[in-house]
Amino acid sequence: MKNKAEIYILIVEDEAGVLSAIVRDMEYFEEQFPIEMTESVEEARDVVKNILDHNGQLGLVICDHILPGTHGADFLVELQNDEKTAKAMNVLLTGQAGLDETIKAINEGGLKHFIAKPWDKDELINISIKLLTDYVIQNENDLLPYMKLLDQERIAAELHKGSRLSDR
Amino acid sequence: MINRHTILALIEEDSVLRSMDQSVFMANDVILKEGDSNRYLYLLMKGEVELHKEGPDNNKVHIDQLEPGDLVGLVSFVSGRPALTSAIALSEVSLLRINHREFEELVEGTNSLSTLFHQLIVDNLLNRYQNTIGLQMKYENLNRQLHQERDQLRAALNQIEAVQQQLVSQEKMALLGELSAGISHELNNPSAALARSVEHLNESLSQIIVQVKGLTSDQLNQVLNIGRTDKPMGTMDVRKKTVQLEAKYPKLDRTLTRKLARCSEDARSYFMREIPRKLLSEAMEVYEAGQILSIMGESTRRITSLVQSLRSFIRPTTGYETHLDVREGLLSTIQLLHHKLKSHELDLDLQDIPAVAGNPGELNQVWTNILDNACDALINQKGKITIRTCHEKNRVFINIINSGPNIPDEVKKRIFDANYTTKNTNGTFGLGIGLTITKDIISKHRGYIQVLDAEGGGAWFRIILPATREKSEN
Repeated sequence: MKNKAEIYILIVEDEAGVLSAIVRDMEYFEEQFPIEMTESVEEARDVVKNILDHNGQLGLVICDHILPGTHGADFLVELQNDEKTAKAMNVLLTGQAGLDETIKAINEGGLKHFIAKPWDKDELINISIKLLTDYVIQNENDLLPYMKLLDQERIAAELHKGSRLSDR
Repeated sequence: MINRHTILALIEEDSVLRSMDQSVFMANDVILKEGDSNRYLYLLMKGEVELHKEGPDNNKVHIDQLEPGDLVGLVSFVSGRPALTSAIALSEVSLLRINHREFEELVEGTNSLSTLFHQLIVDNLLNRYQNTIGLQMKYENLNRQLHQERDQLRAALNQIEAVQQQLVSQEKMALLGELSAGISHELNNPSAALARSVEHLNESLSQIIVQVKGLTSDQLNQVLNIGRTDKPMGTMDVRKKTVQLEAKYPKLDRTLTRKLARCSEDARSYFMREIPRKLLSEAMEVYEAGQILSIMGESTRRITSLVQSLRSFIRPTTGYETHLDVREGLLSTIQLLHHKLKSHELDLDLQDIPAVAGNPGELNQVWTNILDNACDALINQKGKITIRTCHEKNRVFINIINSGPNIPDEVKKRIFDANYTTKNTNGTFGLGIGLTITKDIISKHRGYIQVLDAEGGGAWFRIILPATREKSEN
């Protein structure tokens, strides 16, 4: 792990082929946001702990629902209820979550977005841009570097509010 | 026709007849015994006589009841053959006993007594003939009634079979409904991977065409092949490897480092050994194209085999095969239930077993029911499901054990009853006849099912099926 307080993207998907496909779609962000791949909630918990231990931040979680052991929606609820990870944005990416589980994820887990499999790359990228932009606006002081990959208009608007413009 | 009573009255008046032997029998006395020869013809004057014949189970079959004026022993007397029936006095009776000589005189005589006697014989024969016609009619009626009842029973049986068949397929459809969400998820994953891969390969090929300039065609070929066959590392190993690679090659960009970390050890050492650093990202693009192809192949295989499992599950219930490997059905059921089973530890011990005869679709319904129940028993916990096949002489054993709660004895007693379910609270939409139908199907296959306590807790379903009769290959 790098020393810099980087903003991580965490992907949880137990099927190797699907995981590879998600990661390949998300490569766009990788030069600024390190991507962590995990195959189960158990493993994801370890990775989150490791990120936080190394002063990293959890920015975005893209999670499948049907996972061995703990379900994705439950994991998102768990992250939301933990103050250390409550700020993280999340996407439930699944072909199966029933209405009850989706409602639970929205009500209790502050589910930001739900994408049905098979997904569309532009949809996944655009949602991720929006959510990561939300994240940096809410949590970062220096927004300028994020203009390259994230929502330029919103970041520019935020910068023009004046107080956020760095004078260094 | 002359009234019988008139004849009897006249006979009683006649001096010739009155001089003949008068026999008196008390109630239950045997006048004539079935099978015995008979030297006399009796004319019943007073009281009542029953004729009966011995039935097939030594029971007495009632033939007729005789009244005064009836002749007793006529057939055996005239024909000389053994008596067809036994004649028993029902009350005190008096009979006129006529021997052969007297009979001949009576028959051949021309006086008024003979005429009366002739009339008496004709009347007796007419009576018997009428009785025979009546009996024949009664027999016909009974026969028709029997036929009708048999047809009704047959129709009822057919109806029961049809209803049973309908229930089996309704339960199958309910089960399928319950599974459909999971199956669609199972299909969705490879189909999502496939859909994304097509697009990725598209992008990748364009990039390869534009970017790849430095690699020889040999290298291109090799890298593509490695990509096609490489088995990437698990995510935990990828993280460890990433840390090592970051330390060793700090100048490589993050994406390339991650991709290298995901390759197998062999692929990685090939890259580091054979490919110049500045061509590494070109080579990685080619490797990835190979990986995408491999994902596409794997996804296609999974979709195909899932569709096959589904097909064998919904196969019409009429298909009957003499040499079934039960394990194939178990494996395709496991595939259908993968989305539910993958939350638990699955211990498969499928030993070689002889073939059984039966309907693969129906047997799959059995495995699906029991495995689905096992998953439901383990809801909200990570449990263990053990599937073990073995055999002993001509019997095949299929054991399906879950580590969930023990089934209480009172539930065990009723678990195979229709409409007995413990699942209503969970909002599943089974009909509550899953295990009833399971038992029916197994009985139909001449097997049986038992529910036992597993060692160390949990429910143990044991199904025993007869092996196909013949020398098995193993």
